[in-house]
Amino acid sequence: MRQSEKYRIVFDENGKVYFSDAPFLKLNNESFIGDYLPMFMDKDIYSNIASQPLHPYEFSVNKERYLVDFELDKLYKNDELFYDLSITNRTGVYENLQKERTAKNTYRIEGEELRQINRRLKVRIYELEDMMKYVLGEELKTPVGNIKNSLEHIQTSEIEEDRKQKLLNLAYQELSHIESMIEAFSEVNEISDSSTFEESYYCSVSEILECIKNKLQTLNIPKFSADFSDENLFYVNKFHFANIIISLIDNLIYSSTKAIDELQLSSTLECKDNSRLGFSVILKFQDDEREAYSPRGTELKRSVMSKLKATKLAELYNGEITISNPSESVSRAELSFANLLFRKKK
Amino acid sequence: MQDFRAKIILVGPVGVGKSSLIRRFVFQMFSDLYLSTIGVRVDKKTIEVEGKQVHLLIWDLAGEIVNDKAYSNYLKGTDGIIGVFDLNRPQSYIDLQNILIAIQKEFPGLKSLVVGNKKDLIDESTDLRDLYDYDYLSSAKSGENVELIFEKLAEKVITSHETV
Repeated sequence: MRQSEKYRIVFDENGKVYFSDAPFLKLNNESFIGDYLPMFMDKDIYSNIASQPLHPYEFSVNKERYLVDFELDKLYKNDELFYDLSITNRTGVYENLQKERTAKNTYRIEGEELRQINRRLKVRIYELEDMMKYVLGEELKTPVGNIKNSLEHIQTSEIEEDRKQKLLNLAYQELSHIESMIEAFSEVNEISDSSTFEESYYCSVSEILECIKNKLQTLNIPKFSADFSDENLFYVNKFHFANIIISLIDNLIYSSTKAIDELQLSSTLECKDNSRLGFSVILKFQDDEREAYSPRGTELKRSVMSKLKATKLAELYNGEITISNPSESVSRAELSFANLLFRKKK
Repeated sequence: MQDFRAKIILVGPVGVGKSSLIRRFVFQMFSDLYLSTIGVRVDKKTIEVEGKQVHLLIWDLAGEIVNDKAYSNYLKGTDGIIGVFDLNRPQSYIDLQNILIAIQKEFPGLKSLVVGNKKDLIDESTDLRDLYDYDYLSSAKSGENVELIFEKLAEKVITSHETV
C-alpha cells in the first residue's frame, strides 16, 4: 500500500452512496455509511469534525485495516444537498505514529505501576519494622530475665562450681540469642533505610546472586552451583532479594547439625498465566556432625529468626516460602513470587 | 422484530483495555500485545436484547481525544458510555472519574456503566468493593462479563428510548 492514497465518496443526506472509488466501499454497500463513518450518526458533526480532520479514523474491512483522514465538502445539485467526502488513506503514516504512541504510553503506564510498587513496599517495610520492634521487645524480656537471675544467683548464693558453670553457660547462650536478634533488627533497619528504596530498579537474577556472593564466601562451602535463566530483568530491590536468600541459607544451616557439603541455587520463570519467578535453595550435608558455631539452643533460635526475616521480606513481594527436608542429608527452600513486573533483557 | 441503533462510546485512560474489550466483544479475540489507539475506531455488532435487534456502533476513542477541545463533537449522538478503568492501577480509576464527571456535565443523563477491567490479574481475595465503585468487573483476556456489559448498556439505552 502506498503511503498516501486519495479516495472520494459522494452520498446524500440519507447516506445513499452515489459515487465511490474507495476500495473499502462498494456502491451497493449502503450500510457502510452510518455504520462506519461516524459523522452520519449526527449530521451536525459533519462540519465540526470532517471539515477539520483532527484525528484519523480507523476501520477494517476483511482484515484490511484503514487509517484515514476525512475532508468534507457540500455539493448542491438541483437544490439537493450532497456530501463530497475526500478520504486520504494514511495507514502507513499512522501505523508508525501508533508505534511511537504505544511505546510512550507503555512507559507512562509502567512508570505509574513502579511508583505504586515503591509506595506499597515502603508501607510494608514500615509494618515489618514495627513487627520486628515488637518481637524484639517481647523476645528480649526472657533472655534478659534469665541472665539477670543467673548472675544474681551466682553473686548471692554459695553454689557448687558445676552449678555455677551451668548458670554461666545459660547466661552466655541468652546473650548470644540477644546478639542474633540485634543483628536481625539491624538488618531490618538497614532495609527500611529510605536510600534502599531508590535502588528498586530492573535487575537480573545474576545481579541478585552477585549480592549474596560475599556471604557464600564466609560459609566455606565445598561445592557450589548456580543454575538460572538470566534473560529477564525484574523490578525488585536486589538487596531485599539477596537478603531473603541469605536468610534462607542461614535457616537451613542453623537448623541442621551436619557439616555442609554442597549448595545449589537455581531460578525459574513461568510466564503462563501470571508470571512467576521461583528460586530454589538446596543444601546438601555430609554425614559428619559439624563443629557448633554457638550453643545449639542459640543456633535454633537464629534459624527461626532467619526464617521469620526471610518470610517477612518475601511478603513484601507477595512471595511464598516452602522449606522441606526430602532426606536426612538434604534441606530445601523454595521461593515463589507471582506477578512480579519484568521485561526481557535487551 | 423491532430494530434499534445505538452509538456506544468507550472512555477511559490509556492502557485500561478499551480496545481489547471491543476486540473481544466484536471479534472474540484477545491479544496481549498492547497497541495504543490513535484517533477514532468504529466497530459494529448486532445483538438481541429483550427480543429486539440492537445494532451497536461502538466507538473507541484515543486517550488524547479526551483532552481535545472538540471532544464533545465525538460524543454527539451517543446513546451510552462504558467507562473503563484498570483494576491494577488505582490512578486509572481516579482519571476515569474525572472523565465521566466532565461528560455528565455536558451530556447530563447519558446512560453509562463503570467497568473495572483486567480482573484476571487481580487476586480473588481482594475486596474490590472497598477500593472502587463500579457496575461490573471484566476481563478482556478471559472474556468474563464482556458480552454482559454491552448487553446491560444496550438494555439501559432501549429502556430510555422507550420511556421517552
